Amino acid sequence: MVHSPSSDHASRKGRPRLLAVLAITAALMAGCSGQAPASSSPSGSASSGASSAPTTPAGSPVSGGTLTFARNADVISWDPIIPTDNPSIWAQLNIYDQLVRVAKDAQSVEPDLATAWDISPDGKTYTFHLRPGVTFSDGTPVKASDVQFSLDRVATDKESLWGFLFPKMDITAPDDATVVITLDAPWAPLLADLSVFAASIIPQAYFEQVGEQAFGDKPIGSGPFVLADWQKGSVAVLKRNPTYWDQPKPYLDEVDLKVVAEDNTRMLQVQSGQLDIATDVPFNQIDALKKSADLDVQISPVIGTYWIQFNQKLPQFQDMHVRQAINWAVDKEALIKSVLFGYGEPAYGYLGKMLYSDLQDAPYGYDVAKAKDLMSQSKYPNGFAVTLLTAAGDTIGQQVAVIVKAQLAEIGITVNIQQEEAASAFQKQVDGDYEMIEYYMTSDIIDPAENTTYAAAGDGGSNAVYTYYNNPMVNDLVRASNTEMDATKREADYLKIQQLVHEDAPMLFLFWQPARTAVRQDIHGFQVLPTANYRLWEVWKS
Amino acid sequence: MLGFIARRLLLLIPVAIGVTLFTFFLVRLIPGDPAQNMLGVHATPELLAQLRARLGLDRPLPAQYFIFISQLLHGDLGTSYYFGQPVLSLVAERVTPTIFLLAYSALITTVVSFPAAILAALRRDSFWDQAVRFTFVFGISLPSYWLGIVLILLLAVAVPLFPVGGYGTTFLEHLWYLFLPALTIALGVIPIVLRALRGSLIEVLQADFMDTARSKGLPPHVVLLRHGVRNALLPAITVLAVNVGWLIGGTVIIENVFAIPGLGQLMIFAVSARDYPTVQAVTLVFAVLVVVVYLVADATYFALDPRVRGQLR
Repeated sequence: MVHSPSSDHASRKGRPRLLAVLAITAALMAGCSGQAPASSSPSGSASSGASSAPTTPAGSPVSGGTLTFARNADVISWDPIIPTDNPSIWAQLNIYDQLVRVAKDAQSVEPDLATAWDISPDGKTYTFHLRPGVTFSDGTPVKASDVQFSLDRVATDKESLWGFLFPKMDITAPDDATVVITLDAPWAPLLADLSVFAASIIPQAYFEQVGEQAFGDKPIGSGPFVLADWQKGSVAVLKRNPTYWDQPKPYLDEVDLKVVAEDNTRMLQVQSGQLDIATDVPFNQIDALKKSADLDVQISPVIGTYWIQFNQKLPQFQDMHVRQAINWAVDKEALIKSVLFGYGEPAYGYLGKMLYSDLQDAPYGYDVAKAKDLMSQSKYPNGFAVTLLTAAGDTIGQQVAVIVKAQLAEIGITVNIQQEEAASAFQKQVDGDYEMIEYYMTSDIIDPAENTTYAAAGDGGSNAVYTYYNNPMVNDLVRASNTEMDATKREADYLKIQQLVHEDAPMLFLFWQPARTAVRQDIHGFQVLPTANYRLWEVWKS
Repeated sequence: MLGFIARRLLLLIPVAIGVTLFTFFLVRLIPGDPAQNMLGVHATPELLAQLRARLGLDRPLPAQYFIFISQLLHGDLGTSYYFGQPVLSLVAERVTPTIFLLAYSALITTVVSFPAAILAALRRDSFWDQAVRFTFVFGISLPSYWLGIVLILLLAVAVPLFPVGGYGTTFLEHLWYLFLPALTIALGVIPIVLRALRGSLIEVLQADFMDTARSKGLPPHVVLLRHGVRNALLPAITVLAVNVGWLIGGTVIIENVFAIPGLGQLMIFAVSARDYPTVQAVTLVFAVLVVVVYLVADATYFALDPRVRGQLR
């Protein structure tokens, strides 16, 4: 679930412009009238955004049938260590097992290939006991040596793009049913790391026989489904794995993972019945699709935060008054209402709504007087001009930029919006060659460690997503929390970190946006989880 | 004729070298770094250096180009940074839908524009002439992206004659699935071809040799087809070829709208991800396609016009 400019681009392009303009006009009017403080929550914003509506199973599951499921991009590779894009990740989670998997509420991990695990008192040794009798789809048994091979590969192989998640691990397989991982130092997010798709368990013998490239095309796993056919750019056909350990799942005989990049086409296909499920409903089409009798539009909160970040190399943004003033000056509720058509929640801070996220301290509200007051206390009482960099083709980003520009004008800050192609914009962010830039950060793991290390810590490797925000207190707490094995103490650490970052405001925290999925009425058990993936093995057709 | 085609095919080599040179350096001039893109915010200087070395991006540009060319001469287009697969197989899987779509739209263009042009030219300034011209000027003014969606709404949703996008699996299914996208493309080209053919037909119809043909007592349809249309075709073929060549780039959008697994989708992804080997390969294939289309046009010239045959022999 890494932020990928290209996949975002693909998922956001092509929304009709007219509605966007109307939405912006509405937002500007709301902003000008000055009577939209945070307390008067616009109808259907935070509350309706939070209410996810998974299809309620009508009756008991029946087996059989083919699910036609369209997404906006194809799988890049079926090799777990290669891709960084969501369509690959979410597909792979349906053909592979991991040692542990993310629970549906995304608050913990639960048994998958490992039925149980022991952690030594010093937090350095993990012993996993494998589920007996599990086989790969080619019939060979899943052995501890396969686990050892797969985990060594994701953590250390030169092709792996996921090594950053893992500490130095010494992995051994004392017998076929036991895997022992020994660490140099305790690493609290280890189980969360082991539950990512990249740590999927693959058969060593088959992999070594066919080689890396062939494996990426014709994978074998022990998960609920098996890749039967793959017409690249068009469809990946998944067939039921008859030997899956969790019988009678999967219920479906077949899943056709189709690629329909254009949002409008995908929506028309699901309306016409050509598809059972279509992902990424454009926000401006949700209400219209909901009226269709055969369809349900699921709104599912997912872990991820949309913000505009400040480059603290600039003197203006080294002034905390300025950063806080901007946070008070923007009406998040109005933004959600106009850009996301009410389907979203104001972000409390840099973290998405996830494990240990701080939901006690309210987000920055909308208070222009307070913002003006903070500006007058800053070194820039008369404001300044600043450039906001956005990715071209990102409709949501453009709308957000226009509204933020109008609202910051109220406190004397002149925003010049500059558009650039997504990958070029990202390069500028990385190089620190920007003033303000929009960014959407998702998490690859259910633990807040990853996002905190890369977005909040000044010494985490990316200079706090290249904001150059650097608070030594935050850095110390991040380091401590990564090795703290006591959950209560860790939670307290994370609360403190979030309070500090909230106050320091290295970003203009904007919103949490949900996943929107159009699902036909005869499909049951489908749900986008907070980690934004879906368990297709729990889906059935009536 | 064969010698002519062989000579033209030989000309492909310098064109291909020119294209590779151009795209190789152009794609690297765009800001944005594939390694940085792949690693995202997790990129540390060490990880970046490792990945650049693995992708061969740490070498000087001329050395990279040399490696690319020498691999190309061995029929190896390199390995995609993102897919981890040989680019050749990625391209080969997607080239058929694109060619199918192009040929289909060229066919629709021909079938529609030739009779319409003859009708318009024969009844010059009549109601039919005006109607044909107006309709197609209207057609060319519409953006293809929008037109595609409207055609889907009309002929796949409101009146469900065709599927909403997709490619199908059998040849007949391809014909059915690709009708709307091919029509969308054709509607953009028909007006241009029509205009060219109508213009040249009007000119030819007034030529002296037409009077000669008529005075010889040839039946009207023979006069029209063998003497009139045959001579008027040449400019129209040029226009059609130039436009089909130009359209090869335009299919990128249409493939996206109609969910066709062609080269266009691959190109969009590869450019935004800075997947250099894939961008290079797709551009090369596009360039070869353009050259081949022009070659077909020239071969048609050759067959139709004895003067061209005389010049080229």
